[in-house]
This record gives sequence, structure tokens and C-alpha cells, in this order.
Amino acid sequence: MPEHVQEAHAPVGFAAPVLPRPVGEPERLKVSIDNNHCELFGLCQQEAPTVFDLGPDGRLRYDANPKAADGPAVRQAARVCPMQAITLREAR
Amino acid sequence: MSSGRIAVAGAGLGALSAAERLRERGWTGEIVIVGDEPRRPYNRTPLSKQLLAGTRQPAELRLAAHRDVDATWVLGTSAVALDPHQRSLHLGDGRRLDFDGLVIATGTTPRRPGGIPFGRRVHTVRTLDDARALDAALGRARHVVVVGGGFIGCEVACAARDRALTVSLIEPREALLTGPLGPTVAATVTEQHAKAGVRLHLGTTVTRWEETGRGLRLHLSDGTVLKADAAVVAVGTEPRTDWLQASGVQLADGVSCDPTCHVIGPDGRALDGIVAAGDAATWPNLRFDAVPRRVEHWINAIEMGQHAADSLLAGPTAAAPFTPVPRFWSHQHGLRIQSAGMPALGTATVPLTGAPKSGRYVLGYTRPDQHGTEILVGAVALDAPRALIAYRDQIGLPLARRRAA
Repeated sequence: MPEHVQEAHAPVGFAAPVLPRPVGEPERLKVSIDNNHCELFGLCQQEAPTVFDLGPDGRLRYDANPKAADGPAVRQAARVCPMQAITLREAR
Repeated sequence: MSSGRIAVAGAGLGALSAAERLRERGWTGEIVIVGDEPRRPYNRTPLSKQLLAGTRQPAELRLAAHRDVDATWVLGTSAVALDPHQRSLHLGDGRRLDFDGLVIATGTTPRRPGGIPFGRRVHTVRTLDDARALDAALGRARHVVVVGGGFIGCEVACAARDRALTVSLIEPREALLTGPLGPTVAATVTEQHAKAGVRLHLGTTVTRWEETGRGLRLHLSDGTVLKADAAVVAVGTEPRTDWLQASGVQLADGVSCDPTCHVIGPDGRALDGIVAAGDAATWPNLRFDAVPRRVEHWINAIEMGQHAADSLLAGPTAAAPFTPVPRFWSHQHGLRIQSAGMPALGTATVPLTGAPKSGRYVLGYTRPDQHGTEILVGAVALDAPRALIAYRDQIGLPLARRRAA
């Protein structure tokens, strides 16, 4: 059993709640987005802002080869994508 | 908890997310997932949208677990009883499943009020089988009636209009989605449905249903009689917790949990080794207050499944409270509706970006804390996904601090 990673949380009194950090090992992923299904909700950017960027022109730009450190956040982005339009492959 | 067997009651998104997180945390013991549907976890959100519109096929709904969860799947049967002290589940097929840890993620079932002739013409939508039956019914119909102006009802109305059907939508309140979104956004969405040709019967209810060999006749409270070929009833859900009645765990509109997702036992204390997640769980989100609530959002099933898994491994004393920013989306007649936080808790609204008249805006929902400071409890974006991003992280914080930042 690995040591349990304690996540930041709101102290009692409801002050300054903190969002959870993504969990998982760093890993190199290749990212692709199915433009036939993406409807630009931008949830991916909420999860992984260094990888996905919904521009002022309404276009989604993304890093197809993100850094290993971004792996857990990219996986979370793929999980929460409303349109399930993000495909991940493990980079070699 | 470090070894043994973790059982998961339910085989939906919350169950899958919990199993995946257990493996991410290095759980090497057994995971057994029990679900009544004869299929592995799938994405329910297209059932009221793309599946009916024909832009997604059933085979595309399977959820990819991003890790190999290496679980034993017990499908086509469900847990029918829990003994929290013996740590065992009793299954519908007569088997007993002993466990060291348990995740309760049995979801909800649509409300089915009495007096409605459910069957070939009258449907609810929750499972893939429900959606297939509705799809077939829409294929035979010209006029479909949707009862209930919440998210499922509105989305089905959109899909049916996309199929060029005549659609009547019946909602007891004066606008669609008033409950979750409040009057300003509700007015925008209602106008969008009217423009798309949905025949709105607002402020009305169905007082009597008749089914004849030729179709349905719905008698409305304002005296109108609607003839229809098919109907969809989307008037809310009930948590699937009947099977827990005799277990002694606390139930109150769902499985009662402490702030960490641990299930509360007969003595009012958190049960070590039993957690709950998803639509069936009610817990106090300390980001907002100490009031237990259910959150029936797809993303919440993911996040709560993950957190419940963490809490199970940590135990009730060491586990952290689950304090997410609940989020959802909907797409209706080309209008993207997105929410962060809990807008329904707001006692006032404030425009954050754009003007409501423009139809493209972010509206903030606030309520005062015990000192009278206005706290941002929710934000809803209409066709403004980029503008919403900044507000997600402000949910639960004073509005003034946001401005100063």
C-alpha cells in the first residue's frame, strides 16, 4: 500500500475551500480530440489549463504531447469531457 | 484498510470511478463490482440527447476506464441487503458477498407517479434499454408529449424536435429549469424552446391520462386535451436505497454520509469501511454549508467515486471532506448551458460577464454568510464556456474578494 496522499480540504468553518489536485503517476500521453464530437464546453481547460486552451475565437487549442507531469490532469480532463471527445494514448 | 476485498454495489459511473481510483492509489486487493444491468459501465448522458438524435450509437457509450481496474464483474443481479456488522452483501441471485470495504453507488431510478400508463407509449429515461425503447417509440410517433421541464425533459424535447416531431412540453412552473437555474436563465432557456417550436404548456399539470388503441389523451389542468402518440415522463428521480432499509444505515433522500463520504451507521457515527458515491449519496459539502444534499450531476459521480475510494482507504478519522464545485452542462437547441457550484442555493444574482439581454452571459448566484458577506455559491454560463472557467475557482468565496483579485 502506498502512503495515502492527503488532499487539501476546507477546514471546518467553510473558509477558503481548495480544489482537489489530480491523482496518478506522471506519464507521457498523446492527446487527440474528435472535432466531430467536441462542443467546446471547456471542461478540459478547467481540469488541465496548461494543456487545453479555449481561445477568445471559440477555438480549442491543445498540446498533443503534454509533459509527463500533466498526465494525471489530462486523464481527468478526458474523464470529465461531456462529449467524451478526448482520446489518450500512451506515448512511447 | 490495506488488503482483502472491496465490493462495489452498483456498476455505473460512480462505481467505475471508485474502482479506478482504488487502483491508482495502489490497492492490490480484490475489487468486485455488482450491477443489475447486464453491461459494464456506460455513459448515460447521451441517452436523452445524442442517442435519440442519432449522432451517437449505443456501442459508443461504453466508458473507457483509464486504468485497468482488474475487477470481478457480477452483472445482471444486484445487492438486495447489507449487513454492515458482518460486512456482507446479499445478492439477488441468492449469493452472499463478504467484503472488507464497500462502496455504495446504486444511483437513482426515475420517479413514476401513479395513474400514468407506462408501457409501449409512455416512457422514462435512465438506462440504455429505456433509451432504445423511447427511440423506437419516437420512430413511430408524430406527436410526443414531454412531462417535466427539467434537464432530461428539455433535452428529450430538443432531440424530438431535431427529429421533426411535434413536441408538447408540460411543466407546472411558469418557466423551464426554474428550480436549478432561477428565473433569469430559465427565461432565456424557455424562449429558446419556444423559438425552436416546442409547444409549451407552462403552469399546467396532467390531471388524467387515457390510453386508447390509437394513442394517448392527456387532460391538462387548464382544460386542454392533448392527443399524442408517445410520452416521456421526466419528473425527477428517487435514490435506489430500498435494499438498505433493513441494514440500519441512515437513509434520508439517499444514503446519509458524513463530509468524507463515509456512510452513517445506526448510532449516528461514520461506519469504518463503508462509503457511498454518486446520485444515491447525500452528504454535506462543506464548501457551502453543513446541510446534506444529493448532487445528481455526471461529473459529481466521477469526483465523488474518486473521493469515496480515497476515504475508504484512509478510514473515517483520516479522510478529508469531499468539497467539490459541482458542475454540469446541457445543450439545448444550440444553446450551451453550463453551471459551476450550486446556483439553487443563491438568494440573489449578479451579472458576471455579458448582459442577460444578449443571450450570452455568465450569471453569478450569491447568498450571505453569517457575517452578511455575499458568497458566490454558483455561476451559470449561457454560450460562454470560456468566461465560466475563471469563476469555477471562486465558488464558495466572498464575491468582494473576487473583484479585488
